[in-house]
Amino acid sequence: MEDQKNKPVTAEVEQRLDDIFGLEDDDGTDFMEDADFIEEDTGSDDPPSTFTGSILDEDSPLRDLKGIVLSLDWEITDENMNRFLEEVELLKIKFQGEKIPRMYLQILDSVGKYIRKRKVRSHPESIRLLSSAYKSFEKALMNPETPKAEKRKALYKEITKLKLLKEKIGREKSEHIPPRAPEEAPQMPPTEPEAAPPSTPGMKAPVPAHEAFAYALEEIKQVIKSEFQAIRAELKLWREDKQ
Amino acid sequence: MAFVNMKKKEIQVKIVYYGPGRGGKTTNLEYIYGRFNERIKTEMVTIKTHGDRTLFFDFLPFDIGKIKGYDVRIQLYTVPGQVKYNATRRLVLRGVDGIVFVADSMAIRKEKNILSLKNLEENLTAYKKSIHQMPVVLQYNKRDLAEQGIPLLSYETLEETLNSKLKAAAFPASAISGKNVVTTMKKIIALTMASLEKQLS
Repeated sequence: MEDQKNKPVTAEVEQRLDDIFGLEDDDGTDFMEDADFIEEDTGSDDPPSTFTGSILDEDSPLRDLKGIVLSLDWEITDENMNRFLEEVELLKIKFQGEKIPRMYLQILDSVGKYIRKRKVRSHPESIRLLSSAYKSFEKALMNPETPKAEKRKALYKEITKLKLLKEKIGREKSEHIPPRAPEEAPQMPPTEPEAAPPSTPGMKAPVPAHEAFAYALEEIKQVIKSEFQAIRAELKLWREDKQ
Repeated sequence: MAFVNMKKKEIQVKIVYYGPGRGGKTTNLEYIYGRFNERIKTEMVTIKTHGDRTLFFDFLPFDIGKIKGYDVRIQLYTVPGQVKYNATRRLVLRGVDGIVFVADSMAIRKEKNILSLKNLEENLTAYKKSIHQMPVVLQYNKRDLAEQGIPLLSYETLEETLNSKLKAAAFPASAISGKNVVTTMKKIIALTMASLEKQLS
């Protein structure tokens, strides 16, 4: 039923619907809600990072992730976003006991999921954030000699960026919500006769909410009236049969 | 086809939630209204019997802003599912642009789903429309009942029974919890808008 030619309008409609109804999966979780994880976890001490080699080393934990991040500069597809998120999951397990890497991974996961869902419609800053969070993560991980305070400072910077982005998207989303149409808005003529919604004498379409109610009441009256007429007719027939 | 006012650049799209009685059509609209009322800033009109059944129809209109330069207003309707209200169902279908068929996943409702889909086809025929040529989304509702041990039709069975010819987009859902309610609505709106664009071009 979907046509390739219709893609542009579909994309525009989807974007508008996302703006109004959010990106949720109908289970109550909204975009980047998990980004609120961050503050509660930053205070504790971090065990030392377990990797001290080069990023290109075969046993480098970031080797694959870096490759994927670089590929995202070229193209954002379902395939590479899925690979990215899978790799982040693997690294989360690897760095389970290390708070700073784990929190970087949470940022990447949160932004990655958002980009996977929105794809080309992602906020431009989300792509930049993904890249900068990754670079900062790489720097923190590959430079074990960097003081912990400095690493934390860099992490906070990315966290702040994430929060600002979240706020910005929220703001833009609410700005895009269309204002309520005035109830007295002029009615549009149908383009063809069969386009009319259920019509009742005296009622025009399209119907604002209050008119729809009045219209429905009118229809019910009509239904009841016709029911009574039918009953009367049946009674009449029944009486005639008896006579 | 939808109302299109070329001069004012306005489009009004009518989407009808169809399906057997007690299948969850009204619950779909109630979820959307309850959750997004603040955002869509509208009123839902619903007329029920004392037994909480839809007597006439439910009606939820909202604006989605400008699409391709046109102000688009979406109107969601439900029909009464009870067999005896076929005249009302047919009336509500007049001018429909897109349909969400809300099927009841309960095993005991298998026959009712089939009959309701058949009834939809017949009623569309009255308006010279074919279910195979218009935007349709299937929703397999009440998936949450599995947790209560209520026998449900499997997704595959529902697909085979209701969607083997239609081959429409289908979503397992729970209207009461909201699972896939918005996804279903987004899909039918997107499909319907794409279809309208095709008709208008």
